[in-house]
Amino acid sequence: MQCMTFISPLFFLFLLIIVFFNYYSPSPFRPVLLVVASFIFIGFYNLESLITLVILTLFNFYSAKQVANYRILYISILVLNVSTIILFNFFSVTSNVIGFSVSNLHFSLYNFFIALGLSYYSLQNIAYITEVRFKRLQPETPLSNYFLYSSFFPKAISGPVMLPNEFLPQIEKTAVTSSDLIIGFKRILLGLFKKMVIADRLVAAVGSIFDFNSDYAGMTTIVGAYLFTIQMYFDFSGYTDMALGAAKMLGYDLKDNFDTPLRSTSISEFWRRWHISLIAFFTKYIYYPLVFKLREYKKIAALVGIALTFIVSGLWHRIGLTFFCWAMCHVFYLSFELLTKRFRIKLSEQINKTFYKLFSVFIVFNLVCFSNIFFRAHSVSHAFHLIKNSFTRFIPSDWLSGFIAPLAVGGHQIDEFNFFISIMMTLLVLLFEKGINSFSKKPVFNITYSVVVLLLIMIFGVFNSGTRFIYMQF
Amino acid sequence: MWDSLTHLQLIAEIESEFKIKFTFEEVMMFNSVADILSTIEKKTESK
Repeated sequence: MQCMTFISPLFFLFLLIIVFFNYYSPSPFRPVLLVVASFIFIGFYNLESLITLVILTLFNFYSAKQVANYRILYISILVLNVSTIILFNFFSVTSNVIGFSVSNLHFSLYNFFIALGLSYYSLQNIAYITEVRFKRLQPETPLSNYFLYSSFFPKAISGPVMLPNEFLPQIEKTAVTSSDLIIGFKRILLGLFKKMVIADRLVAAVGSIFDFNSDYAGMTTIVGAYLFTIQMYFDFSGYTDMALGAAKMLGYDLKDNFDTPLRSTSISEFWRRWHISLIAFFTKYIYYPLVFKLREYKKIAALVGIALTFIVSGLWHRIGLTFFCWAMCHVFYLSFELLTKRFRIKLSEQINKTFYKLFSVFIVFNLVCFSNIFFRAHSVSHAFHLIKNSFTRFIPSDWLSGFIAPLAVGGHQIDEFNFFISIMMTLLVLLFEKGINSFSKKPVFNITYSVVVLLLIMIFGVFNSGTRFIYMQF
Repeated sequence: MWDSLTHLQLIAEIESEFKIKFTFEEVMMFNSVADILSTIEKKTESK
């Protein structure tokens, strides 16, 4: 199965052509051009994904016109969209390939259900029909604009999830400026760097510790869990930078998914800074309405809201026990924070502020890494095995084979230099993250910045690794 | 520390004090104390 992921040369050629035509074409043609480009992008992955997208988009678009009048219609479309996400999750863990042919084209039934980006655009369809149902939006969007909202290729694979009021008004915007091109280009470079130099360099170490863990001591396992969270952060925020960069070059502002989340001092702050667009969706459509409904019960309302929001979020990722456990970790953390809020405020006033902040960041990072063991593990028993290993025999008996080797595997041989570079790059980027982010968002083309980042990617980047983005599977 | 829960707790207190009920839409539109006051006035006048 071929795919134009954001790190394939074919994608850059495709993007260059579309940016060129979009920049020079008259503004009324731009939305149609971008819809065609998005269809090519998705159809190139597989034709089944494109057919599913078109059917679901048309269905939601036409149903939305009547949804304000009929409650039953609203509930039916909601059920349909939720069912598509459940089926997507169900089929993505099975391998039942049932095929059929129409003239010369061969289709796989399985591919219709695991259509590219389905779990993201289904959320957007839910948002659209809900806004129309509650009369916060008139269903007057032209079909081409709705197709663009649903399929816009920079956000097609893994979001960000855009709400209708965040995306639809942008379509009518007339100009793509040279500043958009510069900011977009710099953002893509930053994303490429995060993905190829940091995230993909950690793949081997994380894989060896998680997948062949039986012999490793606690310290090695804990470092592996830290590295997985860091890998996932740079993989997904690298993807998001590239999605936002590509969209910016076409004149669109997509919602940022990350805001230096690893510096959070509480789990609730972490969820305001990590996968922002998804959590904003769940907060708006599940958490707030539910807590409002139960508001008489005060804290219990919030606890129920937290539990339901995170269980849905976990199941949105994948239907299974590992993601349920991952969600329950966060339900527990957030409930604890809610119930100890006053105590924590008092405590923070009594001790040194810098120490309290650094200590909180350390605790939050550890809690997030702990929950992510369930995210990465193959099964719950695998996760428990890793957790048990973290707390038994902490110091490795043989440092070379038990610590350095699993961390510093480069291909099939031990490569300390490879690992040293990874750690140095990761720490430097984490330390100067805010500065790097704000610099890459400035509309000033800086040849030194571009050349340095490109050189770093060429020298230290991982090429032909065959890895995809982690969030592509969801 | 102000958050969504504190916001909803305040709303619940106002509702029991003035014996009125806000809709979800109204609560989501509250951006200032003035917004809350004008909605309370409207609701108590129409009673």
